[in-house]
Amino acid sequence: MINFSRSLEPNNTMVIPTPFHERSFAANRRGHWTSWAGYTIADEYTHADLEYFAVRNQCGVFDLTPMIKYHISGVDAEAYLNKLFTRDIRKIKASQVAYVLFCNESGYTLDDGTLFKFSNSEYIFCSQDRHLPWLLDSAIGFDVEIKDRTDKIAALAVQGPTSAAILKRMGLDGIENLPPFQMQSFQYQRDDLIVSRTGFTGDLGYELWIDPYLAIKLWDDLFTCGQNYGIEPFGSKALEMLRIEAGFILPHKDFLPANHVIRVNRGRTPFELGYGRLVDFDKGFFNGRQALLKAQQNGPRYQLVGLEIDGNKPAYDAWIYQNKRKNVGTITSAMWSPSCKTNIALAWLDANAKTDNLWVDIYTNKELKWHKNMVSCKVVKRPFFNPARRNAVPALDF
Amino acid sequence: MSNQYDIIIIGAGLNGLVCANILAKKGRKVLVLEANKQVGGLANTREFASGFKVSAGAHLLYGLHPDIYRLCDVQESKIEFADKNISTLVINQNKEFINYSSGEDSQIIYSSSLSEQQNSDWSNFQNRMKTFSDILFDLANKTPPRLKNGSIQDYKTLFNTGLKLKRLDKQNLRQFLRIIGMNIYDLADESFTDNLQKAAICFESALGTRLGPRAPNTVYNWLNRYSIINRQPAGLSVPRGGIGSLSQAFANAALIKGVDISVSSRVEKILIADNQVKGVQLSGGEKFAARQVISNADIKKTMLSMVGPENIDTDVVRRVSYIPMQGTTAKMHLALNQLLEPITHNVSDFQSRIIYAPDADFIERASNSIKYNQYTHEPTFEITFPSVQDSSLAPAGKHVMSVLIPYVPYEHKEGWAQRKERFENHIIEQLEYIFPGIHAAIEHVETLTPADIERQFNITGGHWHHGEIGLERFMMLRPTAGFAQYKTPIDGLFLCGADCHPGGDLSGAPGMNAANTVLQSK
Repeated sequence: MINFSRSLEPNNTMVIPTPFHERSFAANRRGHWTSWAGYTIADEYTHADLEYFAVRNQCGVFDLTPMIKYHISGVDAEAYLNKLFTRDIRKIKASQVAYVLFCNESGYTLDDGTLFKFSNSEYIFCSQDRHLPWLLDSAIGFDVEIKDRTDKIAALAVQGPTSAAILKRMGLDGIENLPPFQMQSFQYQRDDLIVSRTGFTGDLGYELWIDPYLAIKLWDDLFTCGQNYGIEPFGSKALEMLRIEAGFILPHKDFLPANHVIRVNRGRTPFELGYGRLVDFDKGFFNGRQALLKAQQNGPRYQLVGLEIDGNKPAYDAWIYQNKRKNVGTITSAMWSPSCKTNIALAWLDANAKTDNLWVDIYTNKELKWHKNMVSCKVVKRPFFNPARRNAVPALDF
Repeated sequence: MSNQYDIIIIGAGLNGLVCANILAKKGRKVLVLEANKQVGGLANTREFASGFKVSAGAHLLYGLHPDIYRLCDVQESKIEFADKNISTLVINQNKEFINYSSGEDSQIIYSSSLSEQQNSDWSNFQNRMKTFSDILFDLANKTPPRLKNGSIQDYKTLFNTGLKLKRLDKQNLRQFLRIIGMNIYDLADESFTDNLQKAAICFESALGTRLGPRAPNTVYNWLNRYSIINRQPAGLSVPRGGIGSLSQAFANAALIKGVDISVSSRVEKILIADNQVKGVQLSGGEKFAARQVISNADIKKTMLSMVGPENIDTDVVRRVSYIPMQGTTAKMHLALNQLLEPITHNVSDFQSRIIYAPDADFIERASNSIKYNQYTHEPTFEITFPSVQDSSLAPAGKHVMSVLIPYVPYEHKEGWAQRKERFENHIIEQLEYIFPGIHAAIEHVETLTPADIERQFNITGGHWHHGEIGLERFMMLRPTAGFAQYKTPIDGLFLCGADCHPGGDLSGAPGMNAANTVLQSK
């Protein structure tokens, strides 16, 4: 039996408030909201730059509840996930959180996400978009139960240098010893609080998963304990800056999920996304295997690269030129990085493009007069910003 | 029997046997594995009551592709036919009737009330349609083209089809484009004035599908069916000993060529390693090895059960799951202790194929209930009395009646376990109106709902085309995208059943085309 009913509270707004809404509403001094998966979350509480610096220098809290959470259980759970995802799920250990990709039959990426393993027969898969029909159809022939638990689990991202100290103060003993991509369950009130050392900021940070009835209590506890540690809520605008610095790719921006493209070949293979290491041909059949074998043979058509661009004007949506003449790619995400003090971008380059003598054209508007600037850039390694505290165990105490 | 073969064919249906013959003729070492005790699949004769035999699946032969006898070295002349060129008698509740010949130059033979004009309406209609059905027929024996392949053969098939369309004069081309996606009800309405003639055309077009005559696609279905009947020198026919003796003839021809045929051998798994077929495993655990496996089983059974979803992409699982394969037609076999009163006071009535369909609206109404998983209380029938032509099928003086009942759902909404007996009684009650006295003459009844056909003949849904047929499931779209040309996503695994182009009707064409595909593959 597969249960995919989601109970939504009767509501006369078009968006669903998250269990933290009472608090995030009070904190949102700008009144800037955005919608994610039907939920309303803060875009900016005060100013994206301030929130960004709170995460990089102190601690930021992001309402992660709209993250789509699928609970997958059953005796065939492991075999099922091994068909669904490109990497070998058998190698993931209990309490581990794994970054996963999944593809359609053409080998193009449908989405990425994180897989939380509780046991060989119980997992939670989190992704930005909804995928229930795909998950259910992939489950034909497998003894698994898939439930959308999105509205049954409230979630907060607690990110930044002082995050470990705040959680420790909140009573999560031993949190500093939790390694990256691991999770741990803590007793909180009379319930379980699951904490994973994961995040989308590329910094030291955690994600907290809890029953919605404890959401307000958790928010209050965090802000009380974080009072002297500079804790601030942050919205999706700041998150976008943080994730670009961390070099993470975002579906719909840096690549199009294969089920959203009209022209089939506008999809991207994991190889082209730079995640070839997450494709395991030795594990037996998985979705997209035959196409990916071919794709591997033929080699990628594009390469996703990080760019450092001269000057300080972000190269939004810019073309990339070889020797200022030949068009060899486009930029998908761009920003001035306050932490790196450089102008950075994520970009698609043709697979066979040379990586020297690259230029981007940046258009700037000076008092209603447009200037076209041909600016030199170079390919650099991602992540752009990668502090030692991100992966240090035990977590550093700031 | 060694367990290593060049090719294993799953299922000894007519297509499987045709395929085996053609491949063995080219020197391949072939094994045919059949789950049932008898070969033939739906082309089969069996005893359903002591001393009474019947063609348990198809009860008339009208679609066998003319090339197939030669390709399989089955001498048509050696197959004894109990009857050929069987005419069709369409009747209504007032015992009015028309009787027409099938096959080339179909004509009204006799009728209760047709005028001369109405008589010629019939032949005129057939002649007009022949031009169009010929185009479909020429496609039937060809592997559907795929442009993606860019093969010369595929372009040739497309080019020739295009050329044939182009050669139609302007008026015919317009007419073809106008009617091909249309419903048969309207076409019959504009072509005939007689209700029985309209009913005859409507009944033929919808037979075996879940479509009522007013549904789009029914003209295509009629043309498709007409295109093959039209090419049969024998028209509608039955071999002596029932349809099963035809399967036996193809099985014997295969055995002579060295094909191993193993009955009561149910394939449970198709063995695959690294997306390449390695062989098959029987339900008893026995394994047979081959680099190529051709499945005469339907695509759902083949891909979702024998190959298994764990070995195929979710997109493919989706496409295969979505194929409409629920059967629509029930079969009833009656053992009668005497022949019934002729309907038209003509003794040849019972040599005809009898269609009970008073008018086109009656058929349309009958088709309604299947949409709601119910059977109709006013059914139409196709009836044959095989023992009239072939006395070997029943004890002396006694007779067999074989009835097709269209628009019977695969799943009854209350469950067949609850409803089957009532269904059976209801059908007999209805038959009593047409053949007074039938109730008293019945010695034994066997009813096969689509669910029974599924179980007994191992066809998902029990559909006689292995799935609905129509323009959206035609040529390279049959059985579904990615499976055209008899190939599957698994290397070395092919399909040859009625779910492939051109479909069922005991044409043998899918088996023939699949064999050619396998011979051309590396």
